[in-house]
Amino acid sequence: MKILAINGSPRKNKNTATLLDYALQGAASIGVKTEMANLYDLNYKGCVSCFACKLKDGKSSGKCAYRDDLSPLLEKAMAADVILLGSPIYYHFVTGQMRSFMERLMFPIDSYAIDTNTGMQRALLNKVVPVGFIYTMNAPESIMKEYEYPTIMSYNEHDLGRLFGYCESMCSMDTYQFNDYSKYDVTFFDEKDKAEIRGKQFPIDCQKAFDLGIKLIGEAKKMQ
Amino acid sequence: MKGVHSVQEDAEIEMIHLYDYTYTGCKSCFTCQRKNGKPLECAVCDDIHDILKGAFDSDGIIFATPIYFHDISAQLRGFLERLMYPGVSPKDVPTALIYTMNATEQQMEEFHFETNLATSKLFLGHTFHVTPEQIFAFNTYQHKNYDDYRSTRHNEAEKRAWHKRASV
Repeated sequence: MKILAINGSPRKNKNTATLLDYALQGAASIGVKTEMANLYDLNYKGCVSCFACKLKDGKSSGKCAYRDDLSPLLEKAMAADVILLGSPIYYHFVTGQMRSFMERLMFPIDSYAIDTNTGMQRALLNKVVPVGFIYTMNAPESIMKEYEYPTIMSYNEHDLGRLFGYCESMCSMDTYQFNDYSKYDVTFFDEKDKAEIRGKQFPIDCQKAFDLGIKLIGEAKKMQ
Repeated sequence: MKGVHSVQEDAEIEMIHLYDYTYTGCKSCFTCQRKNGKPLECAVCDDIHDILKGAFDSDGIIFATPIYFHDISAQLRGFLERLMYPGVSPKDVPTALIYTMNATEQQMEEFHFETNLATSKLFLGHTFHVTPEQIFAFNTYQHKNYDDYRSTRHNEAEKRAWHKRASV
């Protein structure tokens, strides 16, 4: 069994990567193979709408035909038993890089055809691959709720859940952004408050991520 | 663009196709947030660096995007991250967002697309001091030849009829 983590943050050792690492440690603690990929290391685009994945009898049916740095990673994701996504929130949403990855991951298995037996959308992935999503954000809970982040995020869960069979997410809020706040023009946030939350809340979030890793493996095992 | 020229014959219009360029979204280097840093200039030097600078010199900007999974295309999202994070425009610049989608108006409402899209509207309004105009084109015709695709979820004849009516 294998879990693949995708880091959609440009920073490779900050909040998002740290939480992904805890989730992978959780999976590793029960003997699962783990791998982490950093999206910002790769040169790629979002879906280019070539529709090769929807062609009748096309050789790329159900697979992304566009070839770039993302192609090998998409193949790894489709072969994984659990996929874990991590992204900071930029302007109320996941990063453009994560979103590009998601377009290329999801659209090839989002069938435009109806299953004649069920009358529903045809399922193209013949297995359940639990997907986890870890969101990190500068915003505290009050702001994320005011701006309807839960609704916005619910659509990621909706799409990933319907295509991969299972999706669960967690949020780490009010994160500490800079190594040294004094270098930046930041008066909107109070460094002391941020440091306090960092000390109290972030370790709890790391434990949550660790537990999420274990839980996702449990979900994958149920399907075997 | 025809509309702009119909009221301002000599208006200079530049069309940018984002997919022609190699770039990423914001890299969170935070150079733009540094004390005494250069405002309105993204420090990442790639294909869109000069386009971003040019955007703040323009008198109006129109963004157009298909809807992919309830939101604007990731390529536009990456571009907007880079455009908006370094600061707010010194002058008022009217902007517009044109959305095209396979979904019908009813589906857009059912799946609350506007909750997602409100984000781009809010932040572009903040950056350029004018709330963007929005245009929605629903139920778009996606393929040249529907027979080539596994597309039984969509009714080609209905799409064609809608497209004909909506294009008038």
